[in-house]
Amino acid sequence: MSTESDAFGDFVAAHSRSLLRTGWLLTGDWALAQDLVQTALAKVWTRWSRITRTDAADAYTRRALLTTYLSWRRRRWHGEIPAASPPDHQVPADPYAASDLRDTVRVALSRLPQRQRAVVVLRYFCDLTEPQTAAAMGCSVGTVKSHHARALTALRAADSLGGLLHEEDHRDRH
Amino acid sequence: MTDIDERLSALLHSAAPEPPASVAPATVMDRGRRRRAKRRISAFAAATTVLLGLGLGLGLSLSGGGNGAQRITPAQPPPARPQQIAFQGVTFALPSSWHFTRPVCGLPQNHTLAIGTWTSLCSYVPPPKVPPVAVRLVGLYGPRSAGGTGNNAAPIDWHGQPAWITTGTDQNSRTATLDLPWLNVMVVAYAPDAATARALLDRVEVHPQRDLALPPDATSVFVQSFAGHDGDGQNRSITLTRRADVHTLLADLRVLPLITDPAKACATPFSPDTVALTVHGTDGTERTYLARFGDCDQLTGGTGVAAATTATLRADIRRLLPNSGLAP
Repeated sequence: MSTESDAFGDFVAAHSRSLLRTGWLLTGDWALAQDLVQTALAKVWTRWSRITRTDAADAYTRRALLTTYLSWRRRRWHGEIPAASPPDHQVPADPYAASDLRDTVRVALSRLPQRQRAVVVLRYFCDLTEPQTAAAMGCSVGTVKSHHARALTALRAADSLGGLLHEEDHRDRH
Repeated sequence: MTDIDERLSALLHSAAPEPPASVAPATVMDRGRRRRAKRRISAFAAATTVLLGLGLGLGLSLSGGGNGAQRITPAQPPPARPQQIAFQGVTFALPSSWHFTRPVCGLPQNHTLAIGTWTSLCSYVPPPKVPPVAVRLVGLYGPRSAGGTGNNAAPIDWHGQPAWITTGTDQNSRTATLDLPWLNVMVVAYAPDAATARALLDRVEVHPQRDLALPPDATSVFVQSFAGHDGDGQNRSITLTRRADVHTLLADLRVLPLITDPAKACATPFSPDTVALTVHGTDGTERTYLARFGDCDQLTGGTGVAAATTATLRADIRRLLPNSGLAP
């Protein structure tokens, strides 16, 4: 058991940074990202011995993260939001935002429907191929393509992010 | 990758901030333990409810319903032949103790036949402690269309139909999958062991038609091309409603030479040079044909036969859907 716990601890230590960043891109909020990752990893832990036997811990965790995120959104989120102390005043949406770019991306992603957002994060942040994205989301490659195309259209049309993408297009041509 | 792809990837990587704190494994493990305990309590509560219900039902039946009325025992029907459940040109002989259901997330329930394709995303569902013995029938055009048959797929002649059998594992179950591409059906059998899963496939019978089952006339044809590259943002589909266009495609489809020899079925995964044609017949019928160009040049419509595609069909699709992305 202690070996299992150690192995799981190593896995969490190695992957939590990337999972949290993925969680932030999906939720746009550190508290939700932390809770999302913890919930997904808790699911992984309950099945850890079997997962490690199949050597698919990465893919399994990614899938758990995605399905948890999508089920949260379906239920409009009624879970607990962990906080060190109850906030007694309104806090900024993202107290850790260090740049305009970060906020621009967060806002542009937040305007996408949940599945389009998930596809964008998996394809461009997690660098998954379309079949891998489809496997993580539990849908067909065609569905991924469809969400992907719509998301790109929406991001290009978005005031702030679209401007950045077009700017780069323009620069590339010259 | 296009410029936009690269730019977006760079934007996301630079925008995603460094986390203010990492995840504590002890916290996660504690949550996992609580989650497991909660599930056990729920399962125990459900089992208790069922047992109480059964006990109550038994008590009522022994006391004649509690109101002095004589209990009527229904006549026991004679053992029936297995019920044949039909799905897109395939029948499955349902064992007497089984029932059939709509698709469920996770593994199917024990002794069930689940028919159809999932319509929404599934959350993770933990497998039952004992692997189920069950079967799932789904269409091939959906989830399997991009991947084709599995890596360890073995070709087999299934009562005259081209088929591939793949063995594998799904969670804690062993699976045997029968792909019947000309019938647009995939049969997945689940069992604790591979032999039982494979034996379940023997309950599958095929009922092919002799042609492509084209309607005499059609009101429209929806054309969807799968060509193009990822993320090009192109809408490669059109609904043809002009009589001349519809008749052109129908005429092209009618003259395609039929292929009935199962040995001539394509064993390759679908290439992007594929077009789906959904014909809406004036008689209310609707059938989707998959025209594969390039890798195997065959058209199937789930009727149990294939047809060789022609240059005329390809040229007409390219003319009617200029944005098809099909190679000339």
